[in-house]
Formats: sequence, C-alpha cells, structure tokens
Amino acid sequence: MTNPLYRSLASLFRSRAEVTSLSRLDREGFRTVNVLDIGDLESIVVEAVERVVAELGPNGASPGSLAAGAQIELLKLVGDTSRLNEKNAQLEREQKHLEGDLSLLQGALAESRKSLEANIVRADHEAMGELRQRLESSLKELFQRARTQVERVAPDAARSVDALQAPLRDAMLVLLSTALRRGHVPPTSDSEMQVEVLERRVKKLTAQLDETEQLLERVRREKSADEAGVASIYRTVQGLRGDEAAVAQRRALLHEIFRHNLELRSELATASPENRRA
Amino acid sequence: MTPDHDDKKGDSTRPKATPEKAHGVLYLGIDLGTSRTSVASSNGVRETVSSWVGYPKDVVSRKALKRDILYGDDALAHRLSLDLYRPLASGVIQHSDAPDSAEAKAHLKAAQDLIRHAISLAKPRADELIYAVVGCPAQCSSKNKRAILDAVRPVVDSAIVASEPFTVAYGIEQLTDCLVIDIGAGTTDLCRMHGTFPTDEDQVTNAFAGDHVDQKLVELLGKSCPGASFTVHKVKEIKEKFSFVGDTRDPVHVDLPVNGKPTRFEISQQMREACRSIVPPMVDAIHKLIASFDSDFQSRLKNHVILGGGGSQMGGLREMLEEEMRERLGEGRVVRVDEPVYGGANGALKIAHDMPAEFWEKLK
Repeated sequence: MTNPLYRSLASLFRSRAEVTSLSRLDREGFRTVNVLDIGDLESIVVEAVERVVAELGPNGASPGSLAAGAQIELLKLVGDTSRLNEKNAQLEREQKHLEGDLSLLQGALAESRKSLEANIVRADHEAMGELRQRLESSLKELFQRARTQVERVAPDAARSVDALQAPLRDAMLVLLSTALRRGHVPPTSDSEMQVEVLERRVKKLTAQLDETEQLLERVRREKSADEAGVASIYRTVQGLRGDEAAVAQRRALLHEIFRHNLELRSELATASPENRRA
Repeated sequence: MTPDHDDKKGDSTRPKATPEKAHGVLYLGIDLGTSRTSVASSNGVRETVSSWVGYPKDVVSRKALKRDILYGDDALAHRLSLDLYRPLASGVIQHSDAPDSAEAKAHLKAAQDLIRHAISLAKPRADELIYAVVGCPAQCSSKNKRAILDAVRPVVDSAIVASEPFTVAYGIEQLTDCLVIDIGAGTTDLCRMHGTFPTDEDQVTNAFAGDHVDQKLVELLGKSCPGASFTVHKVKEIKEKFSFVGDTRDPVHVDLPVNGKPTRFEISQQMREACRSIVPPMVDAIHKLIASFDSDFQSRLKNHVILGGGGSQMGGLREMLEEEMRERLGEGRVVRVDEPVYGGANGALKIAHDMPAEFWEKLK
C-alpha cells in the first residue's frame, strides 16, 4: 500500500459515495446489490492508471491523454462496454475535428510559405539586379583601365583581356547569388512570423491527433478482443479432483445426470430427421 | 414474418465451424427460464436476458429495426413491429403437445434462437471447447429436453440438461436432506434432495409462480383502479419492483394512465393479495414432500428449505413460509440463495466444471 493513489482514492470514493439504507433500496425495488470492496475498487483504478502510464508515460504524453487513457483502461477493467463505445464515438468525433482543423491549418501554412518564398525570390531578384548592375559597371571600368594599359605594352593582347570579362562576370554573379542566399537574414516580416505561428500550431495539432489516434487504438484493441471472445480460465477439462467434500456422492449424482443425458441423446439420434426419413 | 424453421441466420456464434480447439475449455451454465434466461461461464461473464424473442413482422419492420431477431427487453420494447414469442410457458416449450403445428414449430425455433443468443452473451472464443449444462424445469418432458439439447448442440461441443432445482442445490453444495424451492415465472419447482439423484417422487411442480401473480394483479387492479389502462407487461414491471407478502410494508403507489392522464393509485393491498396467492400451493407442496419423506429425517428437511429463482425475491416470503410451516408442520427454517437470478446458472456451471472429461466426450 505504498502507492499514494490508494489513500487518496479511498477517501475520494468515501466522500462521493451516496449513503443509503437497505430498506430504502428495497422500497426502490432493488432486490440484489453487487458489493465491491473499496480495496478492490482502488486496485482496479490503480491498475488502470499503471497500465496507461507504463505505455504512454515515457513517451511524454499530455496529462489529458494520460487521463483519457486511464479512463479507457478503467472502463475495460469493469467491462462497461456501453461507455467504452461512447468513448470510442467521442474519440472518433475528436479525431475528425482535429483532422479537419489540421487540414485547414496545413492549407494556410502552404499558402503562407508560398507567399513567403515568392517574397524572398522577389527580394533576391531585386538585390541581384542591383548587384549585377554595380558589378557590370565596376568590371567595365576595371577592364577599360586594364585594356588601356595592356594596349600600351602589347597591342595584340588587348582582345584577350576583353574575352576574360564575360566569364569573370558570370562566375562572380554565381558567387554573389550563393552568398546572398546563405546570408539570408532571420525572418522578421509579418508573413514570416505567420508561417512560424502556423508551423507551431500544426505541430501541436499533429501531436494531439497522434494522441487521439493512440487512444482510439486503445479502445479498438479492446473491442476486437471483445469480438474475438473472452478466454476461459481453464486450459483443460476439469472434473472432480477427488478431495472435495462428499466426492463419492457427487460422482454418483454426476453419473446419473450423464446416464440420463445419454438416454436423451440416443432418443435424439433415433428421432433425427434422417432417421425419420429412413 | 414468423420465424423460418430452417433458418440458421441467427446462429452467428457457431464455434463448431472452426476445427481448431486447442486453447482451452469454456464451461457454460444456462438457466433457461420462462421469464429470464441467465448464463454463467468459466470466463467470468454472467448475463441475463428476459426470455422474449421477436421477429420483424414484415420487410418494413426489418429495415427499420436493422435486425432479423430481437431478444429480451429490446424485443419487448419493439413488440408492435414484431411477432413476439416467449418460447417457454409453465416450464415447457409452448405448444409442444402438438409438435407438428406451425405454432409449436415457431416456439421451438424461438427457444433455439434464445439459447443460441444466451450462449453468444457469454462471449465464447472460437478456439475453445464449449461444454454447456442447461437447467430446465423439474418436470420438463423428455421431448422438451430433447428439443433443448437439439437447440444447444449445434453451437457447443457437448451439452447436458439437468433439472433446475437440482442445479440450484448442486451450486450451493446442499445435496443432502434439504428442500429446494425454485420460484420462476411459469412454475414453482420443489425438489427434495437426499443424497441421490432426485426422482419424480422427489419433485413437485405447480403453475402458481410469477405469471400467476401477474394475472392475479391484473385482475385485482382492474377492479380497484377504475379507468386505469395497463398491460400485463406494465403489471409485471410493477410487481418486480414492489412485490411483497408480509403484513407491514410502506404503501405501494403507482402512476397509471386514466384517459391518458397519469393518475396515482395506492395498490399495497392488491400487491399483497396477488403475491400471497402462490403461498398456499407452495406450502401444500412443501407439506406433501416432507410428509412423504422418511420420518427420521423429516425434521432435517423442515429446517433446511432453500428458496431460489426470481420469485424468491418477494419481500417477506421467507418469513411467511417459516410461519406457515410452523403452523402446519411444527417447525421450519427457510433460507434464500444469495443470487436468486443466477442461482440456477451458477449451479449448472458447477455441474459442468465437475463433470468428468469422459462423460463430455461420450455426449459429443
């Protein structure tokens, strides 16, 4: 009893329980009452919590998801299939809403990203245009001066200097363009802020959706197990062990029942439709 | 749309269809009653359903209800759209005295569907052997027992029928010198247990049971509640809530419609009179079984009377029987089983558990 849940649950049950008398229950038409010891109730709740914490706890699940998971486990343990079905329907509704919200957000995010990229491309294009102009004018001036000096020394080599201008300009433009992209400043514009906000919301909604899907899976696992049937506690045929009270008497009674049923069975075989037809 | 006699559509849980049965043994104890059918099983599932079976009257009803067969209170709630059957009456399958009649066949089919439904409520797994014991009324004829076996066998691996009061006694391990009284809806069965298998002389069945109380109450309310309209179903519901036989009890008030307006009636006297109507025949039967018992053991029998079945829940019944027995037999002690609704099913489950493997095998 070291688990603190035991103490708190016990007091919680006591404080919320409705006290009634047997005579009042009788007046209200209750003839039989199933009594569950508070210790059993506690252990059921604790088991439900432990089951869900063992599975979801280490994955950093939200408190809401843990609570919902514990609720599902409790419903499974007490065999409340109708409320389990209600929970299933509620989770399916939540899943649909989340999927709808997520789809809208993802649409908005895609639009914002597109607009941001267009802005960046436009800004890059404008910056590159300006740089190109300045580069070309600088190169033109530099090559003009170089040509003049080369013509003085070797008039035939002036053409070779001219031929270098275009490749050099192109190479520099590539380098400039790369430098411009790498040196892009952190987002500050409204559209950039909007994208960031949307990305955070999408991440949060996706996490919520994942948790809802996990909870749904938890309910469905129980439902499919339920549809497959509930396993018997016995692996083999039992029978009397031999150390029960009045075992000889019981054996004799069981033998009588068997004998009587064997007779019924042979009558049944005689009266079967095949035999009637024959 | 009466049930199709060869129809097996309702047979959705047919574990026999699967060849592999390697994973365990599921024992079922079934109490096939006139009013309620209960099942207890070795997987911990216990269910009870009122013994009503309904088939949609026509295609329109079937489409609206989206089912081919309805059971229990669900069937009763939709009775206007259904051909409704309560397959057992007075402890036997209705109309079984004329087995070739359409009514007999329809009731037999309904009984078979009800048993299959009860088995499906126990949630059996396809990979487990299913061994079932079905409790049937003490004086159920061999023909009816065969019909019950015929209904059960296709859905289980091996089945046994046993007398209902005997299953109750076996369930509470009272096999010697006791008198079991099982008060159902159709019959009250009394069975004298003396360590051996009870014979016909050890058992008495009469029709003074729950249905008799309902009819009596209908008659009394008809006289004492002028203008009130009610059905036997409503009266049964009232009885299940307020039944008592004692002299003192809080007044019983019910609301019944008079010209469509709910009107309050005080029906304590009528309730008491209707419930008490089954007591004298019960005491007569107790008297008969005790008086015809070995005189050296009569005292033990008188002081060991066990009440079971839904009717045993009537307030004050135990005390009244003791009083009547003291008056007529000099002494008497009566106890009620802990779980009247599941007493028969629990006992049948215990028999299933204790039955040796070779018996189950031979009855396959």
